[in-house]
Amino acid sequence: MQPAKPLQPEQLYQPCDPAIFDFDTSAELEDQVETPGQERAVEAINFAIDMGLGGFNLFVLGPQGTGRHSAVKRILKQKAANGPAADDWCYVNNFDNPKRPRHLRMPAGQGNELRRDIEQLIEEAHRVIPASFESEDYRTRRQAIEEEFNEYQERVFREVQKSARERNISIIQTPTGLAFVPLRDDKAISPKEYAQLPKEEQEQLKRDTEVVSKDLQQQMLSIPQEARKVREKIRDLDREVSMFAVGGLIDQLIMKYKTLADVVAYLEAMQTDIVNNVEIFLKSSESDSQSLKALLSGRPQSIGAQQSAAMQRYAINVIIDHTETEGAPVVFEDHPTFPYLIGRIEHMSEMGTLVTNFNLIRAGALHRANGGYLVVDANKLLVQPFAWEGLKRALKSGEIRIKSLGEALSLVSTVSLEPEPIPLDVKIIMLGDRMLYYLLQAYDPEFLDLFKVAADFEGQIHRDQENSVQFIRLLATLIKNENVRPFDREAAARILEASARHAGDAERLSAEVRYAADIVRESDLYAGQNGKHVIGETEIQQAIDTRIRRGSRIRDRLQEEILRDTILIDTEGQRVGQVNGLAAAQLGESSFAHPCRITARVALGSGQVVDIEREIELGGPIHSKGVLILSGYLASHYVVDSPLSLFASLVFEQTYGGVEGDSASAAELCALLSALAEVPIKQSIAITGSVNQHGQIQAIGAVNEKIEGFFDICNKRGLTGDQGVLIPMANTRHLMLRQDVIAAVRENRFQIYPVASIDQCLTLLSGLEAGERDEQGAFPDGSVNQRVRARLQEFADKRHHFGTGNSQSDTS
Amino acid sequence: MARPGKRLQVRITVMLGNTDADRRALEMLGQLTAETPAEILGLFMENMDLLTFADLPVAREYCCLTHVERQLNPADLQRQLRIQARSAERALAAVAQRTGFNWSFQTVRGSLASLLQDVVKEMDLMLLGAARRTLPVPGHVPATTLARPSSQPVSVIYDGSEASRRAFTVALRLARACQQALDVFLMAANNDDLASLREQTQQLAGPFALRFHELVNPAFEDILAAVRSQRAGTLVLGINERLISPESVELLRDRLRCPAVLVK
Repeated sequence: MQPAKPLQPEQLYQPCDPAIFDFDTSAELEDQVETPGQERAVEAINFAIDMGLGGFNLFVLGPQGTGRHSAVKRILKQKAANGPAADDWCYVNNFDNPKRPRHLRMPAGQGNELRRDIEQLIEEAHRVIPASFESEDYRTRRQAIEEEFNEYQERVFREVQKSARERNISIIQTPTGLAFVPLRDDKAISPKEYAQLPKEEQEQLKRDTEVVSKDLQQQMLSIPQEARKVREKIRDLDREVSMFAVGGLIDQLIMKYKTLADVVAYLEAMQTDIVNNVEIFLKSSESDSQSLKALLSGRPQSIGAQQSAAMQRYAINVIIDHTETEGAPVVFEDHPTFPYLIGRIEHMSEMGTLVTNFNLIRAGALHRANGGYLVVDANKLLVQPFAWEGLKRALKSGEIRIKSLGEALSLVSTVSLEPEPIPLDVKIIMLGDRMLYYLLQAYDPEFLDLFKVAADFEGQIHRDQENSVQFIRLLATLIKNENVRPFDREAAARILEASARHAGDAERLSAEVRYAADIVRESDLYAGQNGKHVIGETEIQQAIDTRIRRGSRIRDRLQEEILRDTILIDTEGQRVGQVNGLAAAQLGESSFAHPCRITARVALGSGQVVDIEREIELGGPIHSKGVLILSGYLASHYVVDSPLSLFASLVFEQTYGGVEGDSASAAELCALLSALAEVPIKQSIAITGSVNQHGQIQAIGAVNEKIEGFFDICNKRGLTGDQGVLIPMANTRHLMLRQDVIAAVRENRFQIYPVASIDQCLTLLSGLEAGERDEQGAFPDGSVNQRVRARLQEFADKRHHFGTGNSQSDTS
Repeated sequence: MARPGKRLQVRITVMLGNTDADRRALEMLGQLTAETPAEILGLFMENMDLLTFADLPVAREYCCLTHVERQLNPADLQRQLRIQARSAERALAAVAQRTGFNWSFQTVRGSLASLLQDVVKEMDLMLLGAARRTLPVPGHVPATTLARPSSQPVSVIYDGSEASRRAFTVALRLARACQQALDVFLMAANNDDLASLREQTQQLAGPFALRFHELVNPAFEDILAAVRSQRAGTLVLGINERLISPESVELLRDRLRCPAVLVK
């Protein structure tokens, strides 16, 4: 195994050459709308949009700030512009069942036109209908019908009167009816005269009275029947007049909308309804009181006040109007609650109760997007109660059924409506993070039926010249409309370097364009303060530095405690069984790392390697996996043919929160081997890396932060020249270190060693050869490995000697 | 309106009932008295025949409200009549308060013909409302639509006599006060006379527009039929011997639907 050599300064940072940009300032650049490096995702978006079949809705996943939203917006705008225009939708009264309003579907722009036509028709009807009923012709015909009835009644009375007269009985009016008065010589018989009459005559009088009374009763019974006939005649007359009054107006509209069968059907139904309810247009008392109210309140008296009843009944509620829409509709719903998506039915308070009608139906986002595209944020959708279920239901059923949540859950029992469902034809585009997408995939059985296409946005893109140039161009386009100063090419180069650092990879750029754009925006402030018209590299660096400073409070506090020896970290000397590991932390937008003391203790045992973090449940599963790998390495590397007879305990000293990840497993192994071999480890070197069962060092994350975390402690204590960090070889391409670290390396005050195996780590940390097996499988004498093997063998022999095979914990 | 030599206050007798038509007639009179001080005597007539009949053991009544026949109870009848009388008196008082005329009220018993004979000496105008009728006003057909109420003109019978001239003057004032049209029914022996009568009324009316209906030697019944056919709101006619005959009174009582104003 070749010893690890420290990295050269040029290997620690991949600068960007400003010469790759052919502009002086970004203001010269042409607009760039596509996000570079997202071809896969863009192809998926185009595919989903072009796919006309149901179920091919789109989920756009990826990190925030990678241009998902703007890519979707741009592509939709292009596609929708060439798409067919969506229809207007209206709700109208269902005269047969007002609880179930009917919908009308009309070509774009005609909904409002129909509404205006109907309003005009109502206004006309308010003039024409009363005029018809006030006309002399109507009055004459109506009076003739009423006169016919009056004559009938009078004829009836006269016949009864005549019949009564023949019997010498007069019919006269009482306060509440009619009395039958017997006469003698044309005068009413007095009680005295009656008493003097013979009995037969009295009886005869009584009989005559009864006959006349019966006759009157019979005749009177016929009057209600006649009245009913007369009412029918008047109703027929009224219908005739109404039909004549409005028929012409409605026929005109029927001609105009003859190609729309639904509209024609509605107009015909409306005509019939007007004829049957013409009193709506004739209620003079209502209109008078409305007029009086308007007069008293100072409002101009208008025919509108009189029209409210008619308008409420016959108005057209245009819930979707695409007059202004070009192509297919594209709707971005920022507040995807259930009612905002599916639509809602509003209510009015009237005399203490809540009432509603078809005029109070309101469209939701699905209505607005019907025939086009609806874009929603997945997180926002899923946190809204029942919104996700409502959306799925609409997509599966292919229709939008407006229902209030309160009613659906039986929380309220107000009068409500059941509007006719509207057929749904929409493409849904949901934007969300990856975790959410995979959770939905795993736990929602309907999800994949409805969202068959995923557009996966990269978090990082290749840092080649083409992408670099496009990235800068995209940035320039973003800030162009924000009144932000342009930047020069040096600034552009620095931005790219910052983006690479943000990606944690010298060969990549972070696809989070938002991060870079924010750097530029912040730089604009400093450029202004520095009196410059163009943002330069200085301002970019200033923005980066201040941004780090804003987020570094906890990092600085931690470093302080280390420097104050509250947290014990050695950066000099050497100790057996103790090594400086490196732990990274992510708090909000800021990430940093800090050294962490890892210690190992060993004793005779039954092969247990105790991870104290795991024992107290502070260690996550990946961390525990790393520790278990150590056991495998120990057994397979040192004591293949004898039992592993040690007890070892590993701990991250002074950590009181959780520990996760296996990036410190190499450090733990080194501490363990140091403890076994009783070989001290240099405390001037920190190590980070994951180790596998073969002892190979594997890549870890946040390598830049980890190096800088240890460097800062050493630097603040004073660099000694022999301090440094061991990092996995595979992480060298990720290095984009700070300039002060690079300067220290350049001055040989700090070193960074790329390592590929645990043996290389042991050599660097102990100063001794790790030792390679010879052909007989033995390690060289005095090597670290040999000492480890010897110690383990010693434990095995002792254990054998004890003969019990108990663990250290059993014997304590 | 006052006759020359007589005091200026107009004496009006109103035969009151309890119907809307009576109330409208009272309102109209109120309009008339706005310009001329008037003294109004309200009369509520209790039909003598009815009161006599109520005491008979065969007295029965047919109730128009319920279409049920029942025994007529004299005490109940008297009670109902008193209620009606009070209601009529209240209606008169209300109009009097609004328009400011002097008024008094009496309940009388008798027949219309005898009442006319008695009252005609002491009054200048007499208003006969629906209460004069023996039979109830024919029931209206319940409306399925609300037709705008048409105007109901004031009608007057003019035959050139002094009484009819006075009646025409009253009718003209009524029509002006109530902003109604004035229908003039000209009665003459021949067509030539009709022309002369037309000219007379036009002179009396001045610029006020008149609508003429011409009748040659009509029977009283025909006059009333003609008035009915024009849907008169109020009929004004001059009192003469023929008018207060029992036959005419009977026709006036039963054939005319609107209130009648008799002018002495």
